[in-house]
Amino acid sequence: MIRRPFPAWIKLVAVLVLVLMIISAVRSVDALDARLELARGLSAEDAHQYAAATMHYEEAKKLFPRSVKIDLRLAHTAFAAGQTRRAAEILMSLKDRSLEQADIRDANSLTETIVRSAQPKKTR
Amino acid sequence: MIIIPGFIIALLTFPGIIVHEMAHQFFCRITGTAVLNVCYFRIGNPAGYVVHEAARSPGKSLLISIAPFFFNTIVGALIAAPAAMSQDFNEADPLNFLLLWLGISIAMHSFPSTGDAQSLWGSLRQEPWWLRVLVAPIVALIFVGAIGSFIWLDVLYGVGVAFGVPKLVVQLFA
Repeated sequence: MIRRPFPAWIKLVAVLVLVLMIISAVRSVDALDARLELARGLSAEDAHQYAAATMHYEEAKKLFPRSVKIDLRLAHTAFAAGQTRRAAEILMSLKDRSLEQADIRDANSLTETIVRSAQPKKTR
Repeated sequence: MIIIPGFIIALLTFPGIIVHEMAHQFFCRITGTAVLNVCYFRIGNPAGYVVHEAARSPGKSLLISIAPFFFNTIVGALIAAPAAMSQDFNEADPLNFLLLWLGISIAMHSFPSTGDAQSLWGSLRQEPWWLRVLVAPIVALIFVGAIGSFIWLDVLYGVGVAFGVPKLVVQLFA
């Protein structure tokens, strides 16, 4: 039988793919943990369990400290839990970061809601 | 519909073609089928090929033909997973872009080619009719996949594997 050998460069490519798969597997652990925490946080937020949601988001933030998305969720949860000052602080911390359009809209919308809620209500 | 010449797509996604041919050759070796010639990548049609002797059984022939479908899908999904999962976290990491490009390139070349389908169908010429009826849908699917590449089905599949599999995993465990 002709047992055609794999050329050296193909063996090198195979090793490279294997190394990349190992790097990916290592990086996947943190990424998967963060995504799971974010998903659990969203579920808790939907169920109005803001303390649990905050806990999940904080766990995700430990893995991706610069994530705008996680900070925005933390701000939303803080506001929903009545911690308006904390929500405002988180939003302020986003000031110098690069945000995607969707995140800018989300941050602006939350800021407007916070400002509106802080204005004294007129009662008759 | 944007039409991009095949050789440009092949150039942009060459790792997928190399892995595709590697999968064929690897399964030839596993099934004890002699490989006569291999081209892992070239500018031409087909962009890569493996010439091998006739497999000793239809099962082995099927395995060699569809090996890249499973091999490329799994390797592509694994490589793209961390980049796809962390893209929501605004981490503009060059390594993530590299992993995504590699993952999508590899996954989009999962579909066996029409040459693979013809080789599979040819290997069944001496086999009983019921076996040909059994394998016919697989051959038809391969042809549909190959024709689908004209409407970017292969790219859609690659992107789907890269982003869809991690999403499914998160939904499963969250």
